[in-house]
Amino acid sequence: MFLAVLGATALVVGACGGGGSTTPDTQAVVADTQAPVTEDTVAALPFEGVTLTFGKAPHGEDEKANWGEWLPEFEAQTGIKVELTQVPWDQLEALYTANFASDTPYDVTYQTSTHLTLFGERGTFEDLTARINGADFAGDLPNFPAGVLGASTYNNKLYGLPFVVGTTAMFANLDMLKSAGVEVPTSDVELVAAAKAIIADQKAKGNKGVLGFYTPRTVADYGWYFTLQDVHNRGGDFLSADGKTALMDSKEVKESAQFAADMICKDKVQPANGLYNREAAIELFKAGKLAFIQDEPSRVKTFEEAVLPFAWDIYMPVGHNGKATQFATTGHWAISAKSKNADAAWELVKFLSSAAFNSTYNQRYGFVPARLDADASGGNEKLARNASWVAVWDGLKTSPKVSQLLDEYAKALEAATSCKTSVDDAFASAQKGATEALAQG
Amino acid sequence: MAEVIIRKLTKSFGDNTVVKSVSLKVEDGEFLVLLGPSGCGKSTILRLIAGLEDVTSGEILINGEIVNFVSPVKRNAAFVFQNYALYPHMTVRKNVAFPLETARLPKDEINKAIDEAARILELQQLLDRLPSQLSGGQRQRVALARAIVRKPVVFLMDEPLSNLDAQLRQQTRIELMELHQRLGVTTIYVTHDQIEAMTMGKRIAILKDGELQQVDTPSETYDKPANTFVARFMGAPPMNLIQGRIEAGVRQFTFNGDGILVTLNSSQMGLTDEVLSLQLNAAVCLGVRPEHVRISTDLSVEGVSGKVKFLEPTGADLFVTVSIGIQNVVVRCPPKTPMQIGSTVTIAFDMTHTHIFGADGWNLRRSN
Amino acid sequence: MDLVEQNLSDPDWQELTMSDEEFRRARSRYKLRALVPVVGFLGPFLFLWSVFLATPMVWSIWLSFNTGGLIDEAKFVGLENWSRMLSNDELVRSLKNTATYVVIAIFVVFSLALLIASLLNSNKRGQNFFKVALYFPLLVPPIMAGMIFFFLTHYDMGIINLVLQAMNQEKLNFLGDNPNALLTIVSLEVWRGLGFWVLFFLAGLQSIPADLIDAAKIDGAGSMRRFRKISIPTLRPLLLFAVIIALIFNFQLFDSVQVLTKGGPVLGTTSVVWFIYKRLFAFQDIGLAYATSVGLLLLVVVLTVVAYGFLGKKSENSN
Repeated sequence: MFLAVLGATALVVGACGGGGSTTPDTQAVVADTQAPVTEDTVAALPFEGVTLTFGKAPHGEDEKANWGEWLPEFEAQTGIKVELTQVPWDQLEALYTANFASDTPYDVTYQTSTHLTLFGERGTFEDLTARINGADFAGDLPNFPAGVLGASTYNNKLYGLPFVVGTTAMFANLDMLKSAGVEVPTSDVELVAAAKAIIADQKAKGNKGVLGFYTPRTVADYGWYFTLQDVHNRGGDFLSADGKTALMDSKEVKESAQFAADMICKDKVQPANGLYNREAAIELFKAGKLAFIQDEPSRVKTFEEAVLPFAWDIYMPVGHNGKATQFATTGHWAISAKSKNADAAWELVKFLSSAAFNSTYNQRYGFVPARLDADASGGNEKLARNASWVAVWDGLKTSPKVSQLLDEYAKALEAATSCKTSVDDAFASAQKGATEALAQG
Repeated sequence: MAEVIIRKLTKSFGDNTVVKSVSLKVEDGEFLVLLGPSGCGKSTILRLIAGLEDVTSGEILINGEIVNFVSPVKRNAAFVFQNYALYPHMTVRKNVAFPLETARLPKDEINKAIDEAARILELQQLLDRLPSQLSGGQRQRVALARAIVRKPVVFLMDEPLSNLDAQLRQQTRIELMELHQRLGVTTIYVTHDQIEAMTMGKRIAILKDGELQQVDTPSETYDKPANTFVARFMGAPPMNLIQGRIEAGVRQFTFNGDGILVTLNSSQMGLTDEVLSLQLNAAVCLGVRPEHVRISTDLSVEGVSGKVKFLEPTGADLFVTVSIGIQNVVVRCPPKTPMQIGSTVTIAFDMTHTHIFGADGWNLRRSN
Repeated sequence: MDLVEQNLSDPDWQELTMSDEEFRRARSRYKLRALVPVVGFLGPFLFLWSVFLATPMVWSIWLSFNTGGLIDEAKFVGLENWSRMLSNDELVRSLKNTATYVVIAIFVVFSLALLIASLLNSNKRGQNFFKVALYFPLLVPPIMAGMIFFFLTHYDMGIINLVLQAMNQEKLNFLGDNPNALLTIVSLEVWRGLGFWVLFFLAGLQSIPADLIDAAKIDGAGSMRRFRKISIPTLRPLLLFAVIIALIFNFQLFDSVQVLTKGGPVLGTTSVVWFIYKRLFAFQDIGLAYATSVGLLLLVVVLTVVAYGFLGKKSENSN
């Protein structure tokens, strides 16, 4: 229990189930309705007096405070009172399981691709297909790219309205690049070469212990979240398009893992797994001890606030043969099937997924809005660039088994990058596990 | 076999000094009893001799060798504990064998020693039992067996009979003495029971508050107690102690204790007039044992008259408490002596057995 | 004889005042009254026991033969979960890890705790300070424990690696390598549990009658032999209890796995409870999770019985 805090150094966590935990806070935070609602407007509000419960894992330590500012606007417009419960990431599945098994689950929750159908297929969430095709959403629907909606749909059911999509960015220490006289790499081969050159250059200048590249490859740090795009860059996936066949031992999956393993074991441009966890590596980058780090764009804000003592920028993570894509999970707003105020909940979901709110939220947390008419950059050029990558975004298709398949993939990736297990062995085992998982009803 | 000498032995626990400069010599093969009320330091002396406690100052000699800094086992003293201290998880055999196994004796030698000890203490049938399956008396015998099996040069026994019931205690007392006669090992025996001390000890060392009061044969401690403490401690009921003063009479000194006037014949009392004169007008005690007081219902008999206050028939004797003024005197009578509470009687003291304890509490006879 | 005859002739002694019927009724009333405190005291316990223990237990066993049952309806599948459980590679690995962890953790923590407890027992000076110092890990707030852990194990700035580096030794990868990760978790749990067990064994050692130790000293036993032959056997019932408690607790290894390693590296620290937790919550594989839980329960019960037989019986014999 006390160890919970060890992971709590994570300030910002992944959009989609990634990231560490934040300070547990399961107490309901009631965003006080001190909105200037006058007596005569009250009668006009359709959901006056309704209280909604709202569960969400936080994307930052300040999120609770921010909701205190964001929700009153919605409450004033609708007369709905919203009670927010922050669900800590590391207890999320357990707490959601208990909550959804009860008679009074949260009316609205934030769900990532890994959990959306996991819970949804067990009857937890309302299928929103009818609602998004309703007249009140007709103006919004065209703004949601078909690919995004498609990745979130399972068996023709949409258990949550997409809110954000995850991307990852490669942060580069430009001073180091300049010093070594190398260009920003655009392919996997270039990345390795650039990292090697920088290490050699820094060493020559007396800076021992400078590392080339870091991105998580371990189960504990959600290695899959940062590696799957490389599989996609190579034109592969760990699951067949129909979602019925595991492709863990496919050529693309294994080649991608081999590349990740080589960076650690052969090229030695990335430190061995376990030496630095994700947060420790972020600290290394901030301290100027790491040339490249691939992490979530939410770090942009924190780096800017920390004012790093060197020039840096974000880039699309490198691809194989120069082909670079984004591949990640989606965050959704879901409505409980048991909700007694489903219509009010839909009002909240529409508010949360509106272009305006989406912009507000993502200007703070740096995710890419799932709708095209939102501007999450807030004038921040780096974030604007991040948002533009949605054009090459490919979503992890949600399914009830996706968590388990990702677990198999993540374990194999960790084993392959441990330098002690061959990629073939690691992914043969993953293929076996994934096949069993898929076979199991 | 060994003699044990302790010289100016002192033991303190922090500020609390429990043994105060005690010197004592125990002859080879002697059975010496350390007697005193609880808290008098007698067990501590025993533990100091055994090496279970460190000496604060003074010396302990066993067989002429100073053992202050010798480990317990090398002192070759066996210790018998009040509650036997048998190892509860070991059978009788293992308990008895423990000191020998610790000494790494050969197996057959150990077995021989166990058989021998078991025979002496009649434990043959009990060897495979656990202590919890034995009676108090049996445990006692196991503890003794464990002690003798090492062939120690001195036995240290710390109230070994106090956990036994009265009947068994008497029987075991006899057995212990037989054992001592048979083995002839120097034995220091601690008890708070004066009967035990009287019946068992060749000599008794009486302690009070960490200080030695008297070391003597049982009869000497009884007949010639060194001080009022010993006088009261030895004998049941204890010696009568009558407070009063020594006054100069016509030809002899007189003891005057609130209505009890006794002429003191110094030679009869084993004293001299000089000794008595030193105590003239001092607050002293006259001590006389109940059996040395004559009682008579015939009021014409010479003596002090008083009233019968209590009658305590014990079967063998009748103890009569006579009150004279504020003083009480207990008198031992034959069992069926006709006495009635409230009746007036005359008592007289057998002066050859009467003691005067000086103002400091010490028997004046000791000055001789 | 006279007395007996006299009593028999006295009418007061011959007639019963209560009829058989009255006697029986009074007796049953009396017995019923005696039952009131029994029911009164045991009732609440039995109620709580059945609500919080018996019912969930029966429910768990039932769910181990079903799929679903938490969020959705349970569906009976017979022995399917059990057969899946028995053929699961990750579970086999988890069981191995957990068993290794349990054996090392109990062995290390008990050896250290007994050693420290007997040192404290033989040296009264400063005992209270050491007691508090050793109990300290149980009292430190989580945030500080995390900092202490970080301070010790950080790859570049941790004390241990700095010392190793100063001695020209290779630095340790505490959580990223096997078997380091499991050993790191063992050390952590040892650090956390040591104080408790020291106090536990110290209490035990202090309850050994001083005379027994004195007797052994007289009998020539040195401190090692006294410890082995007197203290340990006398502590045997306590040790039995300790082993059983430690078995039960340690088989539930989960916290440090969840926070530090998530079962990695390469399944090096996955534990049975972590396996169950993942199945139950992350995969919603309720049936397998419950089958494994019940299996773990059975395993711990069996180990408890074995431990009891092994340690409990021995006190009957000598040696």
